Amino acid sequence: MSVFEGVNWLQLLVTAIAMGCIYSLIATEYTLIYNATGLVNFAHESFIVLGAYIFAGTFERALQFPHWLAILLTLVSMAAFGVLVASTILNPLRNLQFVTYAMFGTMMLSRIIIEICRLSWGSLPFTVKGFLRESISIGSTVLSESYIYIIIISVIVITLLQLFFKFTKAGKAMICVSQNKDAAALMGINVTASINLTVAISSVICGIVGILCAPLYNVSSNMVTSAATKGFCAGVIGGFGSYPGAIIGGILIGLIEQFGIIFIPSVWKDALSFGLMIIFLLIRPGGIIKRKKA
Amino acid sequence: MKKFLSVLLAVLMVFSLAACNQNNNGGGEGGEASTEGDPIVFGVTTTVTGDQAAGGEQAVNGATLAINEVNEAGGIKLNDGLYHKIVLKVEDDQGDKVLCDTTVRRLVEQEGAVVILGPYFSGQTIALDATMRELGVALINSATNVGIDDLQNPYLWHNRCDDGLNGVILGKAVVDAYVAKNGSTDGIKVGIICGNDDTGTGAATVYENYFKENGIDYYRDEHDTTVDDLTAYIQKAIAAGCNCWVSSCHDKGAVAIAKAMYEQGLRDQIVYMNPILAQTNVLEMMEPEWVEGWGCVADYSASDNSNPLSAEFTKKWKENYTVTPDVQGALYYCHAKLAVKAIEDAGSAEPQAIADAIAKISGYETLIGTVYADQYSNLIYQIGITYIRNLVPTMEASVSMVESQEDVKNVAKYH
Amino acid sequence: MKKKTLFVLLLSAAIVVAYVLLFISANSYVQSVMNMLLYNIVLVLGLNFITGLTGQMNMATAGMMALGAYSFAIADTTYGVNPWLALLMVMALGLAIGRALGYPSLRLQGFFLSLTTIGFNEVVRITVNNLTDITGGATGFKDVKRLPFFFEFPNKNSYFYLNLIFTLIMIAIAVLVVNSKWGRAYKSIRDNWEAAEASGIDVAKLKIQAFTMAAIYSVVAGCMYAGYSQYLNPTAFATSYSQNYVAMLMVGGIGSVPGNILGAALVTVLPEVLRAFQNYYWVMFCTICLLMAIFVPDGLWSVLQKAVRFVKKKLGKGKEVA
Repeated sequence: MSVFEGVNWLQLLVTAIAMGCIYSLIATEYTLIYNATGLVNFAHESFIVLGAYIFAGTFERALQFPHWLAILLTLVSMAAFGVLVASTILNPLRNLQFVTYAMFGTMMLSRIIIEICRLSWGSLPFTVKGFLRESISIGSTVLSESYIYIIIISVIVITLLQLFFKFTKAGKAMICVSQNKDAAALMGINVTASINLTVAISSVICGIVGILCAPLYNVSSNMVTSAATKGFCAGVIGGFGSYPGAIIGGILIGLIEQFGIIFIPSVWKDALSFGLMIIFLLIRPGGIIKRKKA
Repeated sequence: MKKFLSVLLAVLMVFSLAACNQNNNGGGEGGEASTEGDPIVFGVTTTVTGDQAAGGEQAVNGATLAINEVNEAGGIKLNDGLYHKIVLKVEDDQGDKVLCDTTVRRLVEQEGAVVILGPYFSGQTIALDATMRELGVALINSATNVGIDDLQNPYLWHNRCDDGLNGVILGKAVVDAYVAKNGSTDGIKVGIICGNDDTGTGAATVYENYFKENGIDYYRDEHDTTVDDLTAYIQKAIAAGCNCWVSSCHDKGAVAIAKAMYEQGLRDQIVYMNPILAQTNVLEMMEPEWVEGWGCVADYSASDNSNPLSAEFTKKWKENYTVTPDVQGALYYCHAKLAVKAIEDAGSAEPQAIADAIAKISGYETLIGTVYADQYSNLIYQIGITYIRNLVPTMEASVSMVESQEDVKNVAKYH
Repeated sequence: MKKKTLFVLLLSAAIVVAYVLLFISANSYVQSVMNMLLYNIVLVLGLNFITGLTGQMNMATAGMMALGAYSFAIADTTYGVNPWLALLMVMALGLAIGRALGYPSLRLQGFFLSLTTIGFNEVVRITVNNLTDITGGATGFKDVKRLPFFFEFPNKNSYFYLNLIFTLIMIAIAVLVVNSKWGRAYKSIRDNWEAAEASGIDVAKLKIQAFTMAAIYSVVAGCMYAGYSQYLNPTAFATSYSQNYVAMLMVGGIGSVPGNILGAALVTVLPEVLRAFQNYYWVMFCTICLLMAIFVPDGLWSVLQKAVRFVKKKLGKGKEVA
C-alpha cells in the first residue's frame, strides 16, 4: 500500500490554506508598519499575544461577555494600544541613527508586553471554551470550524484593507507616507497622524490574529512564536513591503509545510519554512513580487 | 579620562559580584538553650514562570504541605536531641537547563539547603549530574527519563515510576485494549506520537523497544514541540494505518494531539498517554469528547479514594489550597516526606548523611507507592492506570512491578 | 600617551587579579556566575564586530555558539580527536560559518540580514535537536571531554582559569582590532557605507571579515561553554539567547571593548543580584533597556564617557578660576 493512499488531501488543503491565511495576516500586519515607519516590528508577536489575552483572559474568562461584544471590545482596545505604542515608542525609534537600535528597541518592547501579560493573566495556558471548537463533516472529511472562520475572516480583512487604501483619503495618505515621507508632509499630509493610524490598524489585525489563534493554539505567552516567525518568512518569500506578496507568501508557506511533512519527518516542519526563506533571501531577495522602489 | 572609567568599571563589577557573595547562613550562634535547633533548609528549584508553571505551582504547594505537617508536629528530632523545623526556599529556574545549575548552587551555597527537590524536567536533571556530585547534595524529583540511571549518580533520585517501566505498562495496556476489542493482535499497528523534547524522545524510544521485543507492528514519528498545528502530522499517522496510539507530551502538546485527532475523525480510539493527560489544567483546555475513554498512567488521582494515604492527602490539600491537587502536587508532597524520612533515619541534617539514608530506604509507604531504593536513581515501581471520563481522571487499576527489595533487581533491565 | 597605555595595562592587570581573588574566595554559586560572565564577554565581543562596528544586526550568536560547542564535543568526545586539535578545527569551522553568513550580508541590508540570521539560528537549533544519533537530541550531549591544562580540573568551576585565559586573549585581540585601521573602517561602514565605498574602502571584504571574526569568537565561546558545562542541550541555543547577547551589547556600549565588557557584566550579574524581585525583575530590566534604546542608544559606556568629560571640564575650569 502506498503511504499516500490513506492521506486525506482535502483536509490537508483546507488546513494549509487556513494556516497560510494566518501567516498572510501576520505578514500584512507587519508590512503595514514597515511601510509606514521603515521599521520591522519585532514586537508583533507580543501584540498578537496581547490581543489573545485581552480577548480570552479579560473579556471572556473574567467578564464573561458574549463573543461578539468581547471581540469588538478587544479590537477597540488593540486600536487604542496601537496609537499609544506608535506615539510613545515607534515614533522616537524610527528617528534613531541606526536601524539596529530600533530593532533592539522593538525586541525589548516585545519582552515587556509578554511579561506584562504573564503578570496580569498568570502563566498558565488556558482556552476559551465553546469558541470555534466545533467540527463540520463534509463526506468523509471532518473540518474544524476555526479553519473555516480563519479563511473567511482573512479574506474579509484583506479585502477591506485594499478598499481602504483605494477609496479613502486616510488610506491614500498612508500609501503616500509609505512612499515618501518628506513629499507627503509637503503635500499637507500629517505624517505622524498617518503613522498612528497605520499602527492602530496593524494592532487591530494582530488582535484578530490573536482571537483566531486562541481556539487553535490555546492562550499562552508563546502561543504564536513559530507562527509569528513564519509570518516573517511569508513576507520575505512573497516580497517584502508588498501586500499581495504577503498573501502569496503566506499561502505558499502554509501549503509547503503541510504537504512537505508528508514526505519528510515531521520534526523538520519549521526548518522547511526557514530554509525556504534563506534560499529566497540568497537567490531572490526581492521575493516573488518585487516591490517597485520609489 | 580612561582612568576614571576603568576604576568605575572595576568598582562596579567587584561590588555587584560581592553583592551576590553574601552568605545567608544566618543561624548558628546566639541560639537559645531550648529544645529547638536550627531550621533545616529544603531547596526547591522549579518552574515558577515559563511553560510548565502549572506544575511548578503544584510542586511548591505539595512540598509546603508536607513541611507544614512536620513543623506543626514540632519538627524533626535529630541526634543532637533538638527538634528542628524545616524551611522551604524556592528558586525559579524557568525550566531552563542552564539556569537550574545556578539556582541549585544558590540554594545550596547561599541558602544552606541540605536537599534539593526538583527540577521539573529530565533534561535539567541530567544537566545537574556533575553539579550534584560536586556539591554532594541529594536531589529528589519527578523526572522519568531512563537516561538518568545511566549517569550512575548517587545523588540523583527520582521518586516516581520512570519511563522504562511506564513504557512497558503503557505498551502492554495498549496491546491488551486492542486484544479486548478485536479478539487478537491481528492487524494491530500502534502509532507512537511524541514530542521531540526530552520527555517525548526518551519515552518514544522505550515504547519502540517494547513493541519491537513483543513483535507488535508500530509507527513512530515525532513532532516539533513548538508546532501546535498537528493536522498533517496526524494525517501521516492515519495514512500509515495506525489503529491505536501511545504518546508522551507536555501540556499544550497533549491538547494539540487530542484536538487534531478529534478533528480528523479519530473517535473511540485506543489512546494511552504519559501522566500529563491527568493534569487538571490540561483537561481544562480540552472538550470532553476529545479524550473520552483515553487512558494514561498517573501516580495520583484526586478522585481516587481507595488508597487511604491518597485520600488523606487530597483532604489536606483542599483545606489549604483552592486549586485542585494534581500529580505533581502529590509527587512533591511525597518527595518532601521522603526527604524528612531520610533525615529522621540519618538522625542528622548533613547532606551526605541524607543522601546515604535515601539509598537505604526500603519498604516506606507513600501515597504513590512503596519506596524501595535501588542502586541508582529509582525509588518507586508502581503507577496507577487512569481513564478520562467526561474530563475527570479516574484511577481504575494500579500496577506494581516490585513487591519487595529483592524484586528491584528483576526490573533493572527496564530502566 | 605611553604613560596612559601603561596605566591602562596596569589597571587591567589589577582588575584581573581582583577577579581571580574574588573567584577564589567565592562560593561555587558565585563562581558559576563568574564563569558565565567570561563566555558572555567573548560572545559580546564577537557580536561587537558585526552589530557594534559595522552596524549589521546579527541574531545568530547562539546558533554559531551551538555549532562551536557541538562540533567541539563531537570531535573530542565522540571521535576522540585531541582537544586542542578539536579547538583548531572548530575555529576553522567558525571561519567557514563567517564566510557563509557574511556572503548574504553583501546583498542584504538591515532587516533582511537580521531575518536571515534568525532563520539560521532556528535551523541550527532544530537540526541539533533532531539529529539525535549525533548530538544526543533533546536529551542532550553528556560528558563532554575538557581541554587539558597544566593540572586536572577537579570540578566544574576550576575550569575558570582556562576560560579566563581564553577571555583575556579574546579581549586583547578585540582591543587591537577595534583600535586599528580595520576598526575605523568598520565604523565607517556603519555610519555611511556609501561614503566608505566612495573613499576606497572595500566594504564587501570588510563585512565578510567582520562576520568571520564574530563567528570565530562565538564558536570559541561555544568551546568554553562546552568544556565548562560538559553537558549540551539544544534549548540553551534558542534565538531568545541571541537577543540577550544583543541586549548586552546595546546596554554596555556599542563599538567599544570596555563597553562590551560592562554590558556583559551588567546583564549577567544583575538578574542574580535582583533575584529577590524575580517576578518583576525582567519587566523592569526590559523597560530600562527600551528607554535606553530610545534615549541613550550608544549605551552606558558613552554616558560614562560623557560624564567623565563633563566632570573633567568642570574641574579644569575650577582650577583655572582658582
